[in-house]
This record gives sequence, C-alpha cells and structure tokens, in this order.
Amino acid sequence: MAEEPYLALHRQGRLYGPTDQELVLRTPFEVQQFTLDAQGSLRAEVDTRAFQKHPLSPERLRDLQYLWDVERSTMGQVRHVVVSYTNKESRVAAFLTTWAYERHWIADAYQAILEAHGQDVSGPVVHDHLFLDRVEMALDTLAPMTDSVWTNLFGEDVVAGQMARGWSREASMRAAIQAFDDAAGHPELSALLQRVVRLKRVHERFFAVETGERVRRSPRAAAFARRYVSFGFNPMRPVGVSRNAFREFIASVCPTVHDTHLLLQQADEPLQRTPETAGTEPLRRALERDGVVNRYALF
Amino acid sequence: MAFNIDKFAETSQRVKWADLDMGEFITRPLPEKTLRCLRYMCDVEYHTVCYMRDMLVTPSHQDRDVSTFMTMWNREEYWHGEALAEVLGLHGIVVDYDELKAKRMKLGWSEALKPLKQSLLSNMVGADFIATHMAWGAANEWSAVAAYRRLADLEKHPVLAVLLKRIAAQESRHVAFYATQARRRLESSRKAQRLTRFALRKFWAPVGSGVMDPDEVDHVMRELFGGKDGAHEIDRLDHNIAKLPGMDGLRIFHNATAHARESYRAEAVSA
Ligand SMILES: [Fe+2]
Ligand SMILES: [Fe+2]
Repeated sequence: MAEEPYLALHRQGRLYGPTDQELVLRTPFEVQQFTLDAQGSLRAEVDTRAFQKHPLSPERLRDLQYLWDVERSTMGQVRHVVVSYTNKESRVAAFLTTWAYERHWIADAYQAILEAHGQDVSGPVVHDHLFLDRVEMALDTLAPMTDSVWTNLFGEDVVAGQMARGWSREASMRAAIQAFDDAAGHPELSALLQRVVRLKRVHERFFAVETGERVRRSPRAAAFARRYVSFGFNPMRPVGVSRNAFREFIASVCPTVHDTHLLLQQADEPLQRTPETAGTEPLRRALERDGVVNRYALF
Repeated sequence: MAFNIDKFAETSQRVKWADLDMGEFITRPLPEKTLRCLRYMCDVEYHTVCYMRDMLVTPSHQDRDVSTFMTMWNREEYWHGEALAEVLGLHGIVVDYDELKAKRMKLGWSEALKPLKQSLLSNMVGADFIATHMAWGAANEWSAVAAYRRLADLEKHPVLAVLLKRIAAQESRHVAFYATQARRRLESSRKAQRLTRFALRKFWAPVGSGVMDPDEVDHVMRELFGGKDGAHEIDRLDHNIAKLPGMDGLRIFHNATAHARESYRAEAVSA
C-alpha cells in the first residue's frame, strides 16, 4: 500500500466520502458565513459608567446572574451533543464551535455588568440545589455512557431531537431576555440585551431550519424532536442551575399572569408553527413541572 | 501565574491566511509526501471536537478556566483544519463536511463508544483523571508545535512555511494551558502522578493514532521525525514531558516513533 502513489488513492479528490451523493444535510442557513462572522468580546459595548450612575436593583442583578449562569452552561450542552451520534455531523459541529464561542462572549458581557456593580464573579457557581437538582446532576454525569450507545443505534434521526432542544432553548431565552429587558427598563442594559437578542436570533434560526428540514424528511426524526422537547427538558434551566433559581427568575421578570402568558407564547410559538413539533409547548410543560404555574392558571 | 485564561480568551483568533499569496500553491505545488502529511494534520485538527468530548465527560467542564479554554481551543483548532483544507483544496484534495462525516462514520463503533469508556474511567478514577487528560493534552500540543515547525523547515515553501508557523504559534498557547494545568494537578496528588505515568507509558501514541490508518501515522512520523534533526526533536519532546511532576525518565515520543524512524533509516541506507 505504501508504494501506491498517494494522490491516486483519491476519487474525485476524496479519500473517504462517496462521490455520488452528499452525506451531510445542507439547509439554507450559511454555516460557513456564520463561522466567519463570529462575534467576539462585547465588553466595548458595555457602558460600565452608566451603571455606576444608574445601578441595577438587587432583584435585577439576580435576574442577570441567572442569565449569566444559563449562558455559562454551554459546555454542558455541547457535551450532550458530542457524545452522541450527532458528533458525526460535521456541519452541525462547525456551527456549535462558533455558537459556543459567541455564547462565551455573551456571558462575559453579563459578567462585565455584574463586576461593575461590585459583584464577586470569581468563585464557582453556588446554587441552592434541592434534592431533585442533585439527582438530575448525578444522572447527567452518567448520561454520556448511555447516550453514546443508544443514539448510535438509532443513527441520524436523533439529531432532530437535539436540534429541536436547541431551537426551544434559543427561543425561550430570547423571550426571557425580552421579559427581563421590559422589567428592568434600563436604557444601557437594554442596548446590550437587544444586541444579544440579535445574536441569539441567528442561533435560533440555525436550530429552527435544521429541525424543520430533519422532521420533514423522516417521521422518526419528528418523533425524536417531539420527545426530546417534551420529556425531562426545561429550555430555560440547564442542568446544574437550580429549580429555585429558575422559579425566582420567572417570578421576578414575569410578575403578573399576563407577563407569564406572554413569555410562554413567545417562547413556545415557533415550535407550534411547525406541524411536526406543534403541541409540544416545552416551556409551558417545564413551568408546570417545576411548579411555577398551575396547569389551569392561565386559562 | 504562567497562564492567564482571560488573556488567552481575549487574544484568541481564528488563524488567518487571506493576506497570503495562496496562488503560490498553483505555481509551486507541494509534493505528494507533504500533502499526505497535511491531510493527516487537517483530519486531526477537525477531530479536536472528539478530544474535547473525551475531556467533557470528566467533571472538568464545570471548571470555569477549563470550559473557557475548551471553547477557544476548539475553535482555533477548527480553523487550523479550515486553513489546511484550503491548501489541500488547491491541490485537488477535497476536505469538506461530507468527507469529514464519511471519515467519522468509517471509524464506527470504536469511536462512538469512546465516551462510554472515558466516562467509566472518569467515574472510577475521579478527579485525578483530569490531571492525566491535561498531561496527555500537553503531549499532544507539544508534538503539534514540533510537527508544524518541522514541516515548515523541511518543505521550505514560502507560503506554507508562513501558514504553518502561524498555526504553530497558536499550538504553543495550547501547550501553555495544558502544561500549566498538568503541572498544578500533578503536583498536588501522588496518585495522579502514578496514574498519569502509567497511562502515558502504556497508552500514549502520536495524535491521530486510532483515528488515522497506521500507514498514515507511520508516514507522518517517518517524514517529520526521521533523520538526525528529527531524533533531536524527539529528545526535546521527551524532555518536556519528563519535566512534569512524576514523569521523569519517560520516553514516550522516543518509543512511539521508534519503528517509523527505524524504517526511515533503513530506507536511507538502501537508497
Ligand atoms: Fe491545531
Ligand atoms: Fe492545539
């Protein structure tokens, strides 16, 4: 083998891939362009002096801390994806590489505001974890073992499930940031939050288009998508962030039933519009499960 | 403080080549043996996401510094892959999403079950396993620096040399992180030292082994580390590892490349 000329081993320039078909699903979302446009540090856009003049209240700082914790949890989510079949999806991997990078800098911008208020940001996250939170974290540690096996048994349809979760998370966090912005009513904070929303809309679009294409192609992919966003999933609370912190955040940014209703609508609406995922309402389910809203309270 | 994570993140950039005259590769194409090395390196760079995965199954991802590093590192390595894919593309070798997926599918269950294996080990061994990962990463990054510099020197192609040295400069930053982490974690635990020493001695193989065909690993090691200068480079690499706490006397690079360097010698004699 070693004597055979190296280039002669290629078929139409390829060493491994087939020459007659595409292996990777392409959607209208331009991953290449997204990776080129990656947004780095946002610190220059955070007007720290404005916060010294008009500081955020302790409640708003706690809300911001929540958003910070969610944004910092990226690697935990990446972990779920890369241990599974989805790791073979090179185009998704290219997206996630840049997505994680942008989220790092979003978290960093939140941190800059917390620092400007003299908050200690050096230590590890300390959460008031309940028993349920601890069980969840323990299970999460074991998940790579089971996930690596069963997702590879099922193959590519699983990807739709993970993309649907990404979609629901982005849509929910977009709605949450909006609710936080409305509640805070702070111009400089708003400028940054709206900047973040613009970045997140791009992330949301990737997951939306990716989910949409996959669920339309395969009924089994659609089933995975529905199951993934329906069970054991809270789009606004990553593993490691406590139920208490989540409840406090919702109560703080949505003081009235009307506010909660609006948040739910904006978060869950995108998945409702896609026939294959309609009826899942991930955030509403999560709110009911984590005891924030009573099932009948909103009617 | 040998390594500042915030500074690392702030200065993390994708490697650039837009300012280089890539047309040089058309007028002065690279020889096959070099393309073969570049393809190897390119695949390994894109494969970083798999090394990151192995790290993520340990509790280390809850550590802020580690998680920040992995975010930046993974992206830098991705762009190393892109840069090398560009060079290969100019020689008619296609490395795109389909090619990468085909490669990963070909690896099949052996690759798919790695998280299971890593996770079992991590849960059995506990926090000391992170030290081993860091030492392992340091070894990989040290060899990446050496490999890119060697190829730049050997090939003496005006554009390739510049590009590879840019990549090597980023690899040096990766070394700084891993070596600092490894040193700190090894210093504080004798058990971590014993475990790491055992793992490196028993299992370490050049980056890309188990992912690339053995023939390819052999080719790259022969090309880059055959001959006198190569042997010198291997000694330097071993010296770096030996300086980590509890690793003195280890010769993992020497042992892992012995076969390839021997076959280089045999070829040189017969030629
Ligand atoms: Fe690299
Ligand atoms: Fe590297």
